[in-house]
Parts: sequence; structure tokens; C-alpha cells
Amino acid sequence: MISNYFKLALRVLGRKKFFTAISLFGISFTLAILMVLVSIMETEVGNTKPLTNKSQMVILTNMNLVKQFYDTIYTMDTLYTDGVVQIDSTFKVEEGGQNNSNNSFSYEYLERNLSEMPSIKNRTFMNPTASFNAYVNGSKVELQVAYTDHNFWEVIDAEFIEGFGYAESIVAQEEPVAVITTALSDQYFGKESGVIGEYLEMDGNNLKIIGVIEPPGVSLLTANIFVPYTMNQTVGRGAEIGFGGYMAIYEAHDPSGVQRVKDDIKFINQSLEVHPSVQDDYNEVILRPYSYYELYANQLLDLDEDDSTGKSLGVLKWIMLALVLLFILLPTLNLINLNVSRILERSSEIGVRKAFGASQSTILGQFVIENIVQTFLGGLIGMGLAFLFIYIINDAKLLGDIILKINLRFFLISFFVILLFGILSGLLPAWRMSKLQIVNALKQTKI
Amino acid sequence: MIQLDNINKVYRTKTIETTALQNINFAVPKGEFLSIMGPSGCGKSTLLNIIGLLDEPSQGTVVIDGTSLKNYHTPATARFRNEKLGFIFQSFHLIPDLSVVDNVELPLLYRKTSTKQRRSLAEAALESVGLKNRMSHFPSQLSGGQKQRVAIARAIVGRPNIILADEPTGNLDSSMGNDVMDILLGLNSENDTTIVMVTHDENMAKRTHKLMRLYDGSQVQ
Repeated sequence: MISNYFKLALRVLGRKKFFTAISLFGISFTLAILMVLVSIMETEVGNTKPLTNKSQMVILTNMNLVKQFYDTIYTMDTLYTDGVVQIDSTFKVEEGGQNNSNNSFSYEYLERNLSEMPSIKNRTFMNPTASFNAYVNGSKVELQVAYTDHNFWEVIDAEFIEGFGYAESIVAQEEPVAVITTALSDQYFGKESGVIGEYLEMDGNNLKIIGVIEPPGVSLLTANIFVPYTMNQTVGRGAEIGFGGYMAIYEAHDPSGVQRVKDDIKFINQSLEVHPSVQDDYNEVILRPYSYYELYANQLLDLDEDDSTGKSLGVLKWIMLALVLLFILLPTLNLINLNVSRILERSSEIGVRKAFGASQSTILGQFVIENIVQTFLGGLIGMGLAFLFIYIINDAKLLGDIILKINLRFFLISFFVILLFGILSGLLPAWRMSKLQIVNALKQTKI
Repeated sequence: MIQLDNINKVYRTKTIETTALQNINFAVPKGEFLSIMGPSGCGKSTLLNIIGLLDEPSQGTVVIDGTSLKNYHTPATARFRNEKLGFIFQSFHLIPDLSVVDNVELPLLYRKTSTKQRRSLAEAALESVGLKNRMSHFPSQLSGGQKQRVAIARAIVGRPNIILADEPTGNLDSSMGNDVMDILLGLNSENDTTIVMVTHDENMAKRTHKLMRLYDGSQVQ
């Protein structure tokens, strides 16, 4: 019976080609957009390479130095009563201005104050802010540098095409080495691999290439060259206070340990003091550790600097849910409409099938199967479109340095969406038609 | 085989009540070929639909082969229809997207019949109506008479005890109409199939065992 329905589904689709084209376009385009969205979410917040442990990460990007000023307001009222002068004075203290300085950390500050915690499995300190220009055969090549420690290659699950990351000894000995991405290798050396042992000139140093990796392709890691932090000779303003260009990435033992890491950082925060050289201007140090997802949501939505409650993440989840529902519901409702009129045309067929022994559930099953076939075809086209869109997005760098990837989970989610689509858009019209009285169906009257 | 007792059918809207059938009582024994005649709108097709369990009477009972079914929307009624009844419609009602043999197989889809057996039975039914050579054709490629013969094949493929034919020759010329009648008469005489046929054609009706006339929803003969 199922093969009979399958044959019939294909013939029905072929009968009215224009109508079928509209349906398939609606399904395929919507699914393509959904798949691209899923891919973006997978890349940015899924546990995909190179950040396969996003759910265990706590990130500290900045240190806030604060001094709150208070204004004392005196009020004097003078009363003259019965020849006596009475003076009534009050004063109140209100919050006035605030000194606020916000900056990322120096490596030394992080190492001295924030490197050891019982709740962390590992940690890395990274400065992703530097950039230089190199010139190769007269062409400018932009070097987006990340200065890191050796732990970086343990915390980050980079995809090495060749070579390896720098070990602790290399960092300690201040060896001039670098790990570059395939894209930079191609720009600088003219080839994506086979460059181990070659030299790249940057900031007056000749860096020996010891590793080549796939571009990370996530917004947290946009660098194309990774260098030991000991090669970073720049001493920025505020270094003595603890300011610099570094951020800290902590890895908890498991996702449930993220809160403990945040708690440990806040505990350490209580004992941190403002550097004596600026104690006139600031009297408090504030650290704000975020989980990876909180930081992502906060940066994406730009809601509030102090988002220790995770409000941004909550808002982002609602926005994503609304977007997904919109992208599923709107075309589903449209398809339901199309399907109703399409199935109405076949009401006499429904009458005949019921006359010859088809039950209501059999009719329902038939039309749901037909709809799944149609949706599956649309889904296959949609997958093709999704590949095309992702290729275009990556090739034209429409999302900056974010590189969208496709993996098995992506396919499974897409398949589930396709199936849900097929069932949802076919179920309601099929259910209505399956309840048709046989005599009415045979007369092809409207419901 | 078929027993109708006190059948009434009333159509009600918000403002109008129309009596399509009133006090219909008759029996059709096994192997009989009954014609039902009457002017247009007298309730012939309504009566046939009620016998075929395609429509519910407002009042009265229908007993087929000793079974009286109360609820027309259950899987049990669908199964009963599939096993006991075969239908031939004036407008043929062939499914345009299915080939001739797939159309004929239709009743067998709703039984536990293997694909091979279904195909074999369908071919045999088409052979009996002389259309085995048109198996792979589609309804749009057939003449009216051929379509009706396919419909007959579909009606008999499951070997039902009763065939209900609603003006089976109504859309055919006399020659094709006679061919169709010959097939129906052959089924009745060779297989002892009970046939109830609605017709406008006196000549066709005269070839059957018994004639019942309706007028304004009531039996007159």
C-alpha cells in the first residue's frame, strides 16, 4: 500500500507542475534558511571545533575599576517665629558621579591573581587584539594576531593540517614561532600547507611556522596567526595597574561546574585591591565572569554591560525560539492553505476510496504520506540550497570571520525539521478531508 | 440478502426540510438483479447510497447479509463495505493519477492481500471485462465505455456478494450501454451476484429480474 501511495504522490505532483513548483519553492526556501540558521547556531554556540567545550567555558574579558562619588547636600531653613530665629538644617547623601575604567588584563595580572582555582580543569590567557601588516610581493597581508600561552592548544581544539602548537618550553624560552591558519598560509606563502619550517616576518621578528590550522571561524577566535605571549613586547598603558590586552578562558570540569568557576572568580574578586598608584581615583575592582553563552548573547544583543544574571542569554533564547517558530509556522500555515485546496480537488477520490473500504485513518495516512513525499522532495532541494547559501556566505565572508560548517547533527536536525514540516502542513487538511461524508465527497462539494 | 425496513431520509437546513425517502420497505434476495426507476429527484440514488452504507437514513434499518450496521463511520463498517459491496458509478469515478490496473486493485489495497495476489486478481478482473490489454493505460486514455468496464472490474475484483450500480449506462451510447449490461447480467447469472441498479432506461430495466419504481421518495411498485 505504501508504494502505491508513493507512486500516487509522485503522479499528483507531476499533474499540476506550476502548483507543485510553488509548494516546493516554499518548502525548500524556508528549509534552506532554517538550515543556515541552524548552521550559524551550531558554529557559534554548538560544541563544534575549535571550541568543542563551549558548555564548560567561563570567560573573563575585562576588569572594572570603580570609584563611586557621593554628594552631600545641606539644606538650611530659617524660620522667624515670635521674634526668635530658628534654623533647621538637614543633609542628605546622594550618589553622585562615578569614576569607571574598563579594560582587559595584563598577562602578569592574570597569572598572579587569576590562574589557580580549584574548580577549573584548565585555563588559557589570550590577547586577540593585535594586528600588523605584512607585505608579500607588493601586496598587503593583514595579520590578526592572538598572543597566547601554551595551554591555549589544550583548551582550544584546533584542527591541525600540519605541525603542532607551541609547548610550555617554547613559550618559556621566548622562541620566535607561530601557528598560522591555512588562509594566511595561502596569502603569505602561496599555498595552504607545506610551510612548516618557513619564516614569516611580523613586528620586526622572523617567526618560524610550526603549525598550520583550519581557520577557527568563530567570533571569539578571529586571529589568523597565533604567537607565544612572550613574543608580545608591547607594554600598554596601565600595565602597572593590571591592564593589558589579555582575556582569560577557563575550562570547567563539566558544564555543571561553570557556576563554581564563576563563584571562584567572584571570591577572588573580593580580595583584589586597586593598585596604589590609582587609589585616589578608584577604590574597587569588579570582575564579571560570563559563561560562553552569556558572553555570546551579551555581545550579540548589546543589552547591558553588567549581565551577571544572564538576562542577555534568556532574551537571546526567546528571540531564537520566536525566529524558529516564525520560520516553521508561517510557511506551514501557507502550505496548509495550499494543501486544503489541493486535497479538495480530490474529494471524489476520497469518496471512492471510502466507498471501497478505506477507513478514516487510512485516508489520513495516505495524504500525510503524500505530503511527506512532497516535503521530502522540497527538503532535498532545500538542502541543496542550504549548501549553496553556506558556500556563498563563507566565500564572500558575509559573516566576517565566522565560517559556517556542516556536520552530522546539522543533517539530523534538518531531517527532523523536514519531517515535522511535512506532517504539520499535511495533517490538518488531511484530517478534515478524511472526515468527509462519502456521498458529499462523491458529489465534490466544498466543506 | 438485503433488507430495508421503514427507511426514511430527510434533509434539513436551517429553514427547509426535504423528504427524500419515506417508508421504504423491501427485500432483495440473493442472486436477484433489481432495477430501481423513477423520475429525476425521486430519491433513487439516495436509496442506493443508503443500501451501500454511503449515507445514513434518518430512520429505519438496513440489513445486509444478516448484519445491521449502526455506525457508518467506523473501521468495521469500512471493512464490511470492502468485503460485501462493490460500486459502479454513473461518472465512473476512476482515479485519474492511477493506471487502469491500479484503479482496479483499489478495493484490494484495504485487505490483507499481497502485492502479487492483488495484481493477479486485478488482471483477472480486467480480463473478464475484456480490457487486459489496457492495463497500463490511464483513465484519460480510455473511451466512456472502457472507463465503465474498468469501473465494473474494480467493483468485482474483490468478489463482493452485492453490486450497486448507479446509472451505469447513463453516460454511454446504446451500444456501449448494452455491452455493460451484458457484463452485469453475466455476473448475475454466472456468479449469482446480487445487483441493485438505478436506471432511467426502460430497456435496460426490462432485462433485469425485478423492477421497483419510486415517485417523490415513496415506493409505487
